[in-house]
Amino acid sequence: MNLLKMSSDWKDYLHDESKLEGAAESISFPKTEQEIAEVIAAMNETQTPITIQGGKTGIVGAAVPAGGHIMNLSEYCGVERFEATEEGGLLTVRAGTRLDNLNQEIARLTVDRPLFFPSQPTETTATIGGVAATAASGIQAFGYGNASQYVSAVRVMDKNGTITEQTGEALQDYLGSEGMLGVILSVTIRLLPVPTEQWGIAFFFPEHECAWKFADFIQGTDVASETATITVAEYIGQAALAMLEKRKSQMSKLDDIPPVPEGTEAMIYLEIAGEEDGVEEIAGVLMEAAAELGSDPDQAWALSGESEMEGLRVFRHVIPETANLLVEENHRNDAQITKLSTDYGFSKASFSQMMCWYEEQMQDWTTERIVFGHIGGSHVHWNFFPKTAEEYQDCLTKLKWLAINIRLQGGCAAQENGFGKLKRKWIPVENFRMGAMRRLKQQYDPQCFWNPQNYY
Amino acid sequence: MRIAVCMKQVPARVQGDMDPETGVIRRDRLQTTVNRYDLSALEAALRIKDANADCRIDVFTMGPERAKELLRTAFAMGADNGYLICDRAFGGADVLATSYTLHQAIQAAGTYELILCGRQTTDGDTAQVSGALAQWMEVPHLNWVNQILELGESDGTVCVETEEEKLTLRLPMPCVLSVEQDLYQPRMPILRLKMAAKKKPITQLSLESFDDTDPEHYGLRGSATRVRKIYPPEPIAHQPVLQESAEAAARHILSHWRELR
Repeated sequence: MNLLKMSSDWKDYLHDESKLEGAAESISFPKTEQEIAEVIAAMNETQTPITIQGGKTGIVGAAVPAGGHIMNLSEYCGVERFEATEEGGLLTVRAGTRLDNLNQEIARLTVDRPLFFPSQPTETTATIGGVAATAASGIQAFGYGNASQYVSAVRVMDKNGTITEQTGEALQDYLGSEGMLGVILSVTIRLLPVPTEQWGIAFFFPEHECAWKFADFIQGTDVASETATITVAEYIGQAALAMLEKRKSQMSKLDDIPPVPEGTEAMIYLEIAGEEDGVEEIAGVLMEAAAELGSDPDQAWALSGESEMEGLRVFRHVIPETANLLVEENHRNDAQITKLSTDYGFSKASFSQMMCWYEEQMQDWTTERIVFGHIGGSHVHWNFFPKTAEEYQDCLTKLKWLAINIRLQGGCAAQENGFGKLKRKWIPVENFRMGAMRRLKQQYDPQCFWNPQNYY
Repeated sequence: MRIAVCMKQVPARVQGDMDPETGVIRRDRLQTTVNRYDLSALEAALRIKDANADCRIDVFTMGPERAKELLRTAFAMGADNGYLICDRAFGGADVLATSYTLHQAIQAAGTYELILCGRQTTDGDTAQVSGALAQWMEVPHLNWVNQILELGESDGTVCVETEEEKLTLRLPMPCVLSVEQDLYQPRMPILRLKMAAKKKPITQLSLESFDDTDPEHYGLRGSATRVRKIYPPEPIAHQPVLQESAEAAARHILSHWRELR
């Protein structure tokens, strides 16, 4: 066991992408289960709380330490077990396994019958333990559902060093618990066969209202085929595209992506997966519908196959990444400034109703902002970039007001990014999920040994 | 004007299996993609076509049946015709055998004023095929052309940037050029063309389609070199990034260098 005293060498471990700054007395990077047990025992003895860290890619500060010890699991990684099943496969991996490494391992293990993990957030340096702990979903949730559906078990160590395997209902307690109930050692995930055919299509709209209507069309039931389905449906607004274009020259991973067509007010990125004929059938229906709404099919990008589509996925992923860079810049100018983004889902309203509502609410807001996100559940992420402490406080008030109103209308105030330590700044305390988490915390960890200050 | 573009399907990732006996990559087990350098060659051809509606672009690719995917991508970008050069006899070819096969295929398909290649492939990395192809075809060749400036009836003007100078060169046509990426960022495949691509015919060329049908001249048997081993480079371990003033950074580098000594 190697417990390291905090020093400037480890300052990068005091924050994540939320830009919240934390504090800790010590840090460890255990490589084995034995080392994890030793760290826990040592901390338990002195009643020092532990904050568990993975890839530090979270945007709500769940992995930011609030004193005590940081147990970073990035070196506790690798595949433990793989079993091929009739419907695909079951893979058990250590919590610190990064998603990019996980995907490489899956490709290596399933050469003869390629499989994939359908529930992945866009940030590939996230760890599988983090995915389970936050119940992250990612862009493929439109077609495949959220992570909970693809995690079949987690092995957990409690503060006494006892290891249990959690499945069924008890498993649900741990998914999305943000490390507050114990440390997840390994995660067993379900893998599905890679579809025969996959297309990624980017439609560009000269008017954003038309893009919203197209999103409504995608949300409807009209786009279907017996052998294929839409698996990804993402919206990117004009300001987000402009921000990306401005910073493109600094991002070599976008070298292969040409500029979006001039005059674009919104882009909608879709992926279709299934049998070849079904994919083409859906693509044809979409092309026609988009054309009727003003999107030129001679300007719509269309790529097929995992490796070609990678470029478009990177394009989508770079948007939140670029937003985080901008937050970082503003944070450097004023330490109070953190990531401020919405995570509100609203399945009862159509996409255009939701966007019209947002536009109405924000018409007098002057803070720089972008919007992108999931068409499923009308779940877009508004990102705000206040430049001063005063503007930041003003944004918090507005976010709180939005959260209350979303809740009053039956929407969900925190859909996929978790609560961490940041969202309590604007999510009302009477939030249903917070209440449920308090009860679980009381049951599993009443002394608040794990991840202090998450959720509340 | 008729332009031939030579393109190759390559492994999408560096990890892969190699046949231990032949040293050849087992492509059937790998995810593939279009060699990104070749996409720039196609882009160069497409820009010529954008300015000249009479231009016709034929894409040639050598590989197994699934290399048809590459041709469909080329159609979706705007290529007119696709030739799949596919025969068991062509497997395991090195630069010599590959360039000879391409030469035979291009000759079987017709005559071209311009033959474009990417600067290299991401799997073989030799950057020699275009030069060898020109040699077989007995036409002029220029490697690493930065920009095609002008094409006339019988000659063309191109720009080649070397480390020391920027050259504007005129050369007679037909000719073979390998194209650099910088000014030819490939366009995206277009949905309407992609929808139509499936219906477009692909011409398959086999050994029997060629003037020279001697299998000794193709594939592993026609190759002058043998690959002993292919392996990805050792991954570079993660290194911390230091954000310091110039002076502090220099001091850090110096102390690190002293430690290494």
